Amino acid sequence: MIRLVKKSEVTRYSGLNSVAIAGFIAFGTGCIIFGLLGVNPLTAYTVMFKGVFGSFHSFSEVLVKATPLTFTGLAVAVAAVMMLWNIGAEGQLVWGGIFAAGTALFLLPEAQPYMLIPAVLVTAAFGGMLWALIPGVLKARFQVNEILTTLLLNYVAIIYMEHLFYGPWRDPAGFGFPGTAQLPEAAHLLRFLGTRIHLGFPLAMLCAVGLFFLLNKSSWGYKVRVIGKEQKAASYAGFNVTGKTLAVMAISGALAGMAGMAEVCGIHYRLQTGLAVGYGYDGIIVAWLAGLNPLFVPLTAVLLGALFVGGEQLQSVLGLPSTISLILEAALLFGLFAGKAMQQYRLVFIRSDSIPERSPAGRPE
Amino acid sequence: MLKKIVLAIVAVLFLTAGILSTDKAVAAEEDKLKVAFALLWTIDDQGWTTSHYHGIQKLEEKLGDKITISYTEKVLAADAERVFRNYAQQGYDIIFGTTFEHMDPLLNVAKDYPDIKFEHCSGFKSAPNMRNYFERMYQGEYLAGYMAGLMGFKKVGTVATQPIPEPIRGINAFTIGLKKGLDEIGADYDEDKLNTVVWLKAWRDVVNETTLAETLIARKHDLIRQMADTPDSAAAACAAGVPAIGYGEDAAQYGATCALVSTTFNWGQYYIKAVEQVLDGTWNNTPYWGGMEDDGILMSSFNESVPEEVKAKVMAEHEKLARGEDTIFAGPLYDQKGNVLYKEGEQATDKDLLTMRVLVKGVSGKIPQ
Repeated sequence: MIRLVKKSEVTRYSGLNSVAIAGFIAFGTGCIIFGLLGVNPLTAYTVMFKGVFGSFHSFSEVLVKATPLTFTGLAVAVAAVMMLWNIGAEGQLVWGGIFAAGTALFLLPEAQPYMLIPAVLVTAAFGGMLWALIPGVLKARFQVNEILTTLLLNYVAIIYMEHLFYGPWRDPAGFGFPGTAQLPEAAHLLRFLGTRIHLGFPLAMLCAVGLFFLLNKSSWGYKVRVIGKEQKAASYAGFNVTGKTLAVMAISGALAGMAGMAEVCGIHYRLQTGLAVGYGYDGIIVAWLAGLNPLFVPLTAVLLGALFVGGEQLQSVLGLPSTISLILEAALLFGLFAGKAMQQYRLVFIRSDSIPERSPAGRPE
Repeated sequence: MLKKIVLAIVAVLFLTAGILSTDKAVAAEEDKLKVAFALLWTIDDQGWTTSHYHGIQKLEEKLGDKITISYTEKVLAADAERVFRNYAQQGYDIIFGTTFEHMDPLLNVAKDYPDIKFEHCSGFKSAPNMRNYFERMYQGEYLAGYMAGLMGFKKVGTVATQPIPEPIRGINAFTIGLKKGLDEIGADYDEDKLNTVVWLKAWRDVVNETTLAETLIARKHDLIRQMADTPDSAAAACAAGVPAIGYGEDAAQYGATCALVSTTFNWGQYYIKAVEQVLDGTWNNTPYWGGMEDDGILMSSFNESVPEEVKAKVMAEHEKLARGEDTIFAGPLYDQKGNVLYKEGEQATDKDLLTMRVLVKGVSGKIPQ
């Protein structure tokens, strides 16, 4: 007989430990799944490992994946530090993409790169920020639950984006196929070393470092963290909770908007189907795996990126279904929860003969 | 204590996995031609990707001793270039991209690997080592419409996909066939509202497919034409007791048993042809747009409620198309407002068909802008 008993004192694991526990559980789940599919887990993991570290090109693709994941991970993390749940990074990412594409295609189509690149950065951040401020204002002013509003606004954003590239923004030379025209070359983010790694990657790293200092080394960040821990105490101390809510949501939305810009100007070069593929939701896992520490976010983003890129190889090399990487991603998340539970509870083994007899009413004594 | 338990669990996991598994790592033989496919969705999507997968299976059956085949599912726009480049770096000899969004990424990779052959389904950009291919699904649409007309359906509801030339062409061909069938049996009909079209604006959207089909049925449409990759609009029709016509794969095999017939893709014949051309060195980049003359489009078996004489007439028309006599878009042909599109004696060229952005008379509904 096993029981969960609440610990008298919560054990604090460092961020690295909770990643280790989550990774461990995902690894174990993978072993079972591979086994059931008739593939030696060692072979499968070797294939995944080779798919990630096998060549410079394959590892570069992990960093390409990690770029939007870092941005959305940071977006989720900064809000969560204040106990705000931004499930809307996906929609904010879409608006970042819309603003970036709109700037490059219609606002400044003739501009030089030194002009246009900063312009798409600023407008994309602005677009994401605007979208995040809708739930931000509702939360700060009317106490509307931000989980619902941020989530539901994702669908609105995606439908509006589709309206644009099916309708007014559709490429006039595209035979009516959905999607905008290709962005002018001046708006294409610089790529490095002959890979698809683009300017968005170092930019994401900079944002991570900047956010770390903002949250941990400034008095503003201190207040945000205090509000996240105990809002009543923070209000009592005279912290401006409303103002902080708006500011945090604005920063969160701007970061997610940058993810959209990075995808549109770094990878797609146009607005088209396939921009909203769930990086906003993946950002939630990235942020919590990193223990909401901005410096760890790029690392967990790389981890998740490696899972996706490596998982692809399972298919092309071993012929396994593509959904395996989704299963592993889910196992990571459950592992994370398990790790959290282990901080607060411990397993106690009780010998069955020591279980007290049940009372006639059926309730244990 | 906790550590011991964890270790024990891991040990058990490894043992279980080890016992269950028989290592099936694929060791590609060096002398075989290597063929790769990037697929839009999972191979069990019951429509578009399943039809390509059936093509891959046929290819395997026919040429399995001379080639090795690999495929990747769910290749979306942002990942496409990586998948193609990966296959190219692994030395694949011919690489297929099977959906429109694969076009630009495929072209990018094709430029860097001039010795590898690239094939793109449904697009229009090519290179010396990259070819476009597609099947003339509109021929199947025409036959399905003709059958519906002969059976007296005159208020068809179509759950259409993307408002782009391929589906538009199909809707028009269906309506032309429907009108021909109704004329032959001498039925009365409202010549502006033979076929009402609603748009998913997606290739597959299971929820909306069902909702739109139900809406059309509630408006008393007597037949549902499925055009989506998935058979859910046909299934919704069956659930409401209205007949349907399936698309891509045989909808009746996936539970939509009310489907009178399905117009299906037969990619296998093209994949075999294309790979054989690489094997014997005759591959070139002339675009392929085949149809019933190559068995590239097949009609599924008919539902038992389709009368024998209707089947016979449809199959006679099928014979004509299989002989290459395609006069579906021959004049006189009018647009929705009654303006002449093609005069008597004229006919739409392939270029007209590939860029078609107008609906013919008989279609109710418009192309979303």
